[in-house]
Amino acid sequence: MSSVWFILLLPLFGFLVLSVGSPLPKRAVAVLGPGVVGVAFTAAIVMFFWDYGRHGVTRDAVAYTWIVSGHFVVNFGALIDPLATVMCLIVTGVGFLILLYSVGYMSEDVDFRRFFCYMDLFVFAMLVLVLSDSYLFLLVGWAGVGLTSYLLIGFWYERPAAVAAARQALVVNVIGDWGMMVALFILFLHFHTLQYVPIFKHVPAVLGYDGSTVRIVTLLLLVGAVAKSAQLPLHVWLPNAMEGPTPVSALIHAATMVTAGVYLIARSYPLFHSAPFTQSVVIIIGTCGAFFAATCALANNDIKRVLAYSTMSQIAYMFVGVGAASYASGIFHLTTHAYFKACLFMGAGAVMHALHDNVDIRRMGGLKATMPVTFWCFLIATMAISGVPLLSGFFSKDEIVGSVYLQAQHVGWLWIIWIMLALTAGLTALYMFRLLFMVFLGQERDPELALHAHDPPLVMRLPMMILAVLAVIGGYLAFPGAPNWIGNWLRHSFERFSPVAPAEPATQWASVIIVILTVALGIFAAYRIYYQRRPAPEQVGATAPAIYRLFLNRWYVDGLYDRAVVRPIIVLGLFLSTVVERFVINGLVEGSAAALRDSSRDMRRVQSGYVRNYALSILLGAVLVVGYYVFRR
Amino acid sequence: MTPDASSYLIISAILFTLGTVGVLVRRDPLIIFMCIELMLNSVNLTFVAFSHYLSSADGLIFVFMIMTVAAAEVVVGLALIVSIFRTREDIDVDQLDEMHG
Repeated sequence: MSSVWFILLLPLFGFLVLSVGSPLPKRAVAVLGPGVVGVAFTAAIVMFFWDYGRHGVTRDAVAYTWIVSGHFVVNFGALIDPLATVMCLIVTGVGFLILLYSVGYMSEDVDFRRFFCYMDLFVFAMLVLVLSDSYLFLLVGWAGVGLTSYLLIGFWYERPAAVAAARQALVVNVIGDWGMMVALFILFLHFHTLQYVPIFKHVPAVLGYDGSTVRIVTLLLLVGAVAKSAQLPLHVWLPNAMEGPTPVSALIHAATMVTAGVYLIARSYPLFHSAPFTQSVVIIIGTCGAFFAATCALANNDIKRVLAYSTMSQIAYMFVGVGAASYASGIFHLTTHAYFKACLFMGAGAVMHALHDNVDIRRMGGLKATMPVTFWCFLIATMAISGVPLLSGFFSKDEIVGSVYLQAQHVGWLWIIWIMLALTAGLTALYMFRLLFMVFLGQERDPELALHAHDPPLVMRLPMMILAVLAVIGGYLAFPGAPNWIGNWLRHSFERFSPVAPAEPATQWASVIIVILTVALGIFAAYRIYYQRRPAPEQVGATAPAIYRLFLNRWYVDGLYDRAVVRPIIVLGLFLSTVVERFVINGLVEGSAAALRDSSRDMRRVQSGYVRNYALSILLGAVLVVGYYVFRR
Repeated sequence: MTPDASSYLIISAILFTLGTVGVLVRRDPLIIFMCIELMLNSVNLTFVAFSHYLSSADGLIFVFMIMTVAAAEVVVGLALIVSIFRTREDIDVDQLDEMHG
């Protein structure tokens, strides 16, 4: 029971000590920063086995009662169920590995301590988010991860681009926070509480099935999820967030924080179950986002941004999974994605370390010889994310695509979704292997740059290798045909409040085979174009220059936002500061001062200083008062 | 023949008007003070007259109050006049207009 408080408080302890511990030697920071998260991970494992031994019972642990006002009670507590446990294991486990990697990656940075301080704070906020037993503290964690994301994107605050990216991320996230807060207000109006359990128990009774209220609430929650998970149309901040240090990208913008939106939808499934309209919206947003991000990744030349778009694309798959009410498959993909995407980012970080922070893949190539460990880890993770059979991504992605395939038998328009998902799987393979070929294989394009390229030190290699191993074996949690282990485990969460949660579907072999074919096609195309260069990439781009430019410019969405939102706001700000500020505000202030000054200059004459004048005015006043009473009738 | 109430009131009004005009037109603070006394005593006269004709002691109480206040006021006022005279050697009230705006 108490292990959950250990998990929560350890990263907070680490944050507090690091935030005041300026005299701490670097070695102590390097032990303490990752160490607290590592111990928290151990506690999470203890909690996991403790609960699994009892058949995944869900428990509510109330730490203390915060506010009592009549019938209104706010508890600070934890809801420990399979969903929370899985999220907790990912956050602390992958988080620990990434923090370990950071010890090597950030070793040259002057702000070593500040970095680990923020990272521990992030882990704490994320744990509050996933362990909370009420929407209120979920929102606390939600805002906390948003804040730490802002701090870490802008970690190198001397770089204008990093500061701008941090600001953009914060602004977009605040849009999502707004949606969340309005949704919570409406929920509170109807349920008079924000605790999960009482809300979920009474959703059908209070809100009805497919009523307008439950639609609005779920759509507003979706606004929050879309902003946090960088889905269409609020995705623009994620690629720019790559200005932060690479471990930050791995931890926050790939493995944990951006999946919070998926967690939110999965956690709120009784609400979403009552709003089929919103579920369709989730599926459509997910599918469009998956395809959109994959095409953006195809044309991008920045190693980290390609990975950012692939993150967006994979989270879009998770959205489709939870939107299609196949929650366990969405969470399963979340788990495997955390492994291989963190591994990919670590590989990218190692490459950047070796190449003096160069991120342009057109200047890379042939790094396989000098960085073999990084290459093999990157290869395994690339194969996993592409969905090469028998690796983790294959199983988790196929479960999502398969569940859409199964439902498409009854709902016609889901066929379009299924086709787009299968197509995107091929595109994923294409852009990931393009990245692999351009970075690690072929000719060295810039020999001078790669002169001192070498594998990273052990502290960075080890987490990468562990994650590569997990990227291989992570999928066997749900081996097709065998008992779906993770699905059965998560069912305890997803059957608690609504009996309609479908049993995890059997493997859809037709869907699996078609996806394997598109993936094979994608890998083959990448091999021909980017390895054999027959046809060369430039020729491919030249055959359809309009489409190439569309992808290269990210479908002009960034430019559109810039024109439609950012610049009008800047113009409005200029207008306000030059016209309104100067003439209206200043006019009001200075005008009132001038009016007072002028009127007092005139009024001053009344004060003649002659006693008899004052006496006369008193007399006149008395005459007026007496006269009023005399002549009143 | 006993005078009726209106005779007292008329005399009192005449005295009050004399006092008021005196306060407004004279420059010597001593004369102004005397005029103020005149006004106060005309009010006193009114009080006594009403008190008599209404057979009520309330008015008499007020007369004592006013006499007390008048005495206190004269004390303070004379002290002010003396101290002004010591500093300025001149007590024309029209010269005392330092407080004008």
